Amino acid sequence: MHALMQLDEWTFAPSIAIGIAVPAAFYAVGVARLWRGAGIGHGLRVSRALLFAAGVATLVAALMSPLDEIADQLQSAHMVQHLILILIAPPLLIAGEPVRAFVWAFPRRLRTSLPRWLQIPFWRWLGLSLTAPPVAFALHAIALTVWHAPGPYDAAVRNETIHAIEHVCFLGTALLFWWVVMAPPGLRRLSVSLRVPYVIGMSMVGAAIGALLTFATSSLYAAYGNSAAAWGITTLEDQQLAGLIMWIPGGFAYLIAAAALFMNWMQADEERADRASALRVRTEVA
Amino acid sequence: MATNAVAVPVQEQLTEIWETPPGVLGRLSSVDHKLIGKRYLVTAFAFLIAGGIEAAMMRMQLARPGQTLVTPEQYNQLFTMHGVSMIFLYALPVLSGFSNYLWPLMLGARDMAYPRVNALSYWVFVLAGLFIYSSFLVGQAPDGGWFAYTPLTSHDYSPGLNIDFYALGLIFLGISTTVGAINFIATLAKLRAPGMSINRLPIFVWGTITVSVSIVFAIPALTVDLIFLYFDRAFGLHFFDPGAGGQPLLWQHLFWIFGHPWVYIIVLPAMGMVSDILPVFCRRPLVGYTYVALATVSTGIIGFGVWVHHMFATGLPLRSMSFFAGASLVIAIPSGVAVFAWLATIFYGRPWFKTPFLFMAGFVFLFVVGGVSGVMTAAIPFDWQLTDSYFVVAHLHYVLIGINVFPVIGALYFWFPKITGRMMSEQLGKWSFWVMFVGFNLGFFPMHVLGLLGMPRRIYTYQADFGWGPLNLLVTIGALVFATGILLVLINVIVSYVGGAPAGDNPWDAPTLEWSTTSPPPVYNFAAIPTIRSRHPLWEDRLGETGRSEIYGGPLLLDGRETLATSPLDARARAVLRMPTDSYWPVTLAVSLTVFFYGALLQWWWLAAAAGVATAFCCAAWLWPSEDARQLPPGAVTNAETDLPVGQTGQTSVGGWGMSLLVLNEATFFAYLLFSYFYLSSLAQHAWPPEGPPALKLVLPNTLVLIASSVTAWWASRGIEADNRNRLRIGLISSIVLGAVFLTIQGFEFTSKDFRPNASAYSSSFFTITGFHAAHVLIGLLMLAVILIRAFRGHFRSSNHLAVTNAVLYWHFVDVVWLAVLFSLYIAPRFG
Repeated sequence: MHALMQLDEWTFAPSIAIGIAVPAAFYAVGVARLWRGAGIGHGLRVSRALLFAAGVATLVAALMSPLDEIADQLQSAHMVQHLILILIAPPLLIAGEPVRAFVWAFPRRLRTSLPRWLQIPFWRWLGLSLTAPPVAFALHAIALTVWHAPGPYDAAVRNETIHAIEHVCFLGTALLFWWVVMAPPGLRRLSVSLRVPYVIGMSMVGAAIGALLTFATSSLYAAYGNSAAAWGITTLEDQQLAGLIMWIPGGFAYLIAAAALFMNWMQADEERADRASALRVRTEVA
Repeated sequence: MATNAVAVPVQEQLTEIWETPPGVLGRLSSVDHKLIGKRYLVTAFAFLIAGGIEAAMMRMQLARPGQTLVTPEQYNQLFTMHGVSMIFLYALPVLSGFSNYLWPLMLGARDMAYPRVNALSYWVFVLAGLFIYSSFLVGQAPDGGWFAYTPLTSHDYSPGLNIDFYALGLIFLGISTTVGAINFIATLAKLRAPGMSINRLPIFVWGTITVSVSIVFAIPALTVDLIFLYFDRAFGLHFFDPGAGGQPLLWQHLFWIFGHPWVYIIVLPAMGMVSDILPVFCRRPLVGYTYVALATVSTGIIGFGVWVHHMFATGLPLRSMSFFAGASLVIAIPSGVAVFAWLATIFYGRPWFKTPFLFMAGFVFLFVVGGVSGVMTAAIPFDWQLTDSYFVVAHLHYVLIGINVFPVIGALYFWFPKITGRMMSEQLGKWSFWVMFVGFNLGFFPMHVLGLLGMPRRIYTYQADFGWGPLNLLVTIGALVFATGILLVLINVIVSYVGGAPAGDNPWDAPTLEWSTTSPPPVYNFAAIPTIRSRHPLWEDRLGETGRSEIYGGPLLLDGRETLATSPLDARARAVLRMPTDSYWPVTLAVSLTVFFYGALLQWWWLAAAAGVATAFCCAAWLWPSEDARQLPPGAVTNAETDLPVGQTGQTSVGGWGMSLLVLNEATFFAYLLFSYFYLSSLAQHAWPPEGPPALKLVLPNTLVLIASSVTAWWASRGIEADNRNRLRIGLISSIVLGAVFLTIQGFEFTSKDFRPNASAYSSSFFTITGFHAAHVLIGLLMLAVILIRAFRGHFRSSNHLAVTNAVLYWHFVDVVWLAVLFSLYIAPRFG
């Protein structure tokens, strides 16, 4: 009973609150300035802003709601928190076209000098390297795998700072991963035909980790102690549940993304093919 | 008729270019996809007949209680070989046969992307099949069931050669399946006719491409599993030995990680056939094309997520099984989409009750029955009652015969006129359908009831007082009726082949590209490369499509075996490809592999080693470029008809696709090896590793050596891009030296261990994983060595270095794998 009573306790860690609030405020300022000049819904559609807001809301739900408190007791709840950070929040945030909004958050003078800033070779190199499809995939896969090794995982559960670093790793690499898939036309680095296998490949990384958690016959992580007992399940059952949540619902999230990308690909393709296939043939030959 | 749009002399010229040399010897060298496709079909049907004879013997034995026609040992061999024949040697190869024959014709190409690999794929298939069947000659056919569960199949309980034939034969067959799949993927990516966008592909092509991608990811799981089994049996390792830290369930996990996708692999192309053939006989386009394509792809994906539902009775935690029961039910969604699309197509069409239509409609009925019993076995309590009973036998036969055999026979009736130029007898066709359909349901439906009555599968006889006798007799009669139906099909094939009515180009008035050629198609497929403008190139007028495909007026490409390379995304013409000519290397390579596997079977290591060297030699000789190809580097010449460059280089070329897919396949292989390692470690009862984390003092410097070799390889390939041939040679030599140093130090690392591979499950995993990595380093070194020799002969320049790019890519891959191995085996235990 004790544990259940914590369901209404929200957590408030200043670093996390600031980490969420600053980009959100930046976005809001940018959108406000853009719409003040161009009219509401112009330059950036209202639906985009709503998607971004939903992304921020899921971050709040994951990191500040009672879920965060429960995640310290239940590995399965912790897994739900992580899945929000890697599967739900990043696509929503990217769908909100944050780059466009952020640009407008700068005052006019800074905004005009922004392109010059971005031309600095190091930033260009960094941006291009991090968003290169194999790099983004590898970084995200490594983040997921390494943080599930017993040592790092236990450290994160025990220490709030390490926990925050873990979350930054998850969210950050997930943003890179989904950016590769969802980037706006000018910034696309991955051919539309390869995005389906790209997403499915990541689902296999998740499935492998989920399978190992599910089938282990002893608890892999020590940090939870016996806190699952308060919820009426054993530590091992909690671990199995965590693995299954990552494996099955997590897998379906990737599947849904893959299906959406597939439909997108099918629609885009026909027009392109007609334009592209005009083949010049010299009929006089032969 | 219509092909006369291209002048006869041109057709004669093309025939001369593409024709296979005459005689048996000439045919051994042929790379014509149509010939290979036909061989696949004939061979697969031969295995179907062999498997059918095995089934008939079992049904005779079971027709009445207490019979003694065969001994229990023989019965075990019969049901195992029946399963292996049908599932591995018939079901996929027959679909590969159709795909091989039809793909280039459907896509508007003159051959597959890798014609010689295509030939290799066939030779390996037939030789692997004969390898497995040769076990009958020594009376030791596989006898552990088609999924060969450990520990029954371990050396202690199966000491004979039986299971070794199984393990090695299926590893061998996997080579054929894998290279075939890579060939399909590259063909789809690179060889579609201009304008053949992905939403104009026949659904059959969607089915084959989905399963090809699945194969690249699924076969390595089986290969790893079979290697573990063979190592356990031949060298006394302990992957599946619980006494030494192994896990018998690891076999089942890996087997079903492969096995469930495999179920879809052998049905999705057949379902694609239905989606393409049904509309022809309903005289309208398929309803919901996009959704059927999506259903095909997503079924292939879901296939990887539900393997655990084959293991409900193995004592896994109930909670995990509930998730899998739920996930398994999800498959009903894409299946349902497809079924309703077919029904709507029939409903809104004007059905034309020809033989192919009967088979397709019969399939829809059987698919629903098999699907429903599948949903039933996905429910855990139900599965616990019925697993390993005849209910499961009934279910899987409804699925496999219903979804594979019926569409395949229908497809045979449909495409036989295209392949042979003759119609099959319609009357005999209808008879064959009804005999098969009635016989099948008569034979296999009562099996559901037998399962409910408690009859276990795989028993060689039963007692009269169980009361299973009458139903078993009915099953036997039904099975024989069904076999008679198949026999009628074969008679029809022979009779029609000899004296069937001439078919003409398009006897069914079908809409897709293959029907625009003569029947049978000319060796060059298309006299002119077509340009596609719609999903139904031959129905454009009556459907009122806005675009008009150009089938007879495209480029002729007469300067040798040539076809168009297009871009993967929008099928834009990019280059004219010079296609490989006929060659004896594929068949030679397949034979040397056969010798290798016999060496491994008999544990005659000298033979295996000699065959290994021969295999490496065959590969190098195969890849050695002809004088012609070297005189004509990619892009050096422009094709006069199209202004396109002749040949292509770089990562998006056909060769680049092949190497990337091979690397992906091999990476998956290592991923399954490492998954098995972590699986065993997470279930270990004792310390893992037993003697604490392995020492780093040799491997850390060695890692630096390997990374350095990657840097020099990169430097070398950048060098040749800038036409600096000296840099290429120096860089390659450095990489080879560093790679050799790495292997030497690895040798010291191996000997420094005070345990042997057969000490425990840990030592087995350790030596298997690092050993396979070392073997890959060796392969990489051989590749680099061949490239070095070619570099000294001046084969490469900035415009012509695809082989360098590919070999260096492989080398980088080998190094990246080492980092994963290092992290898993050396670093991760320190975080435990």
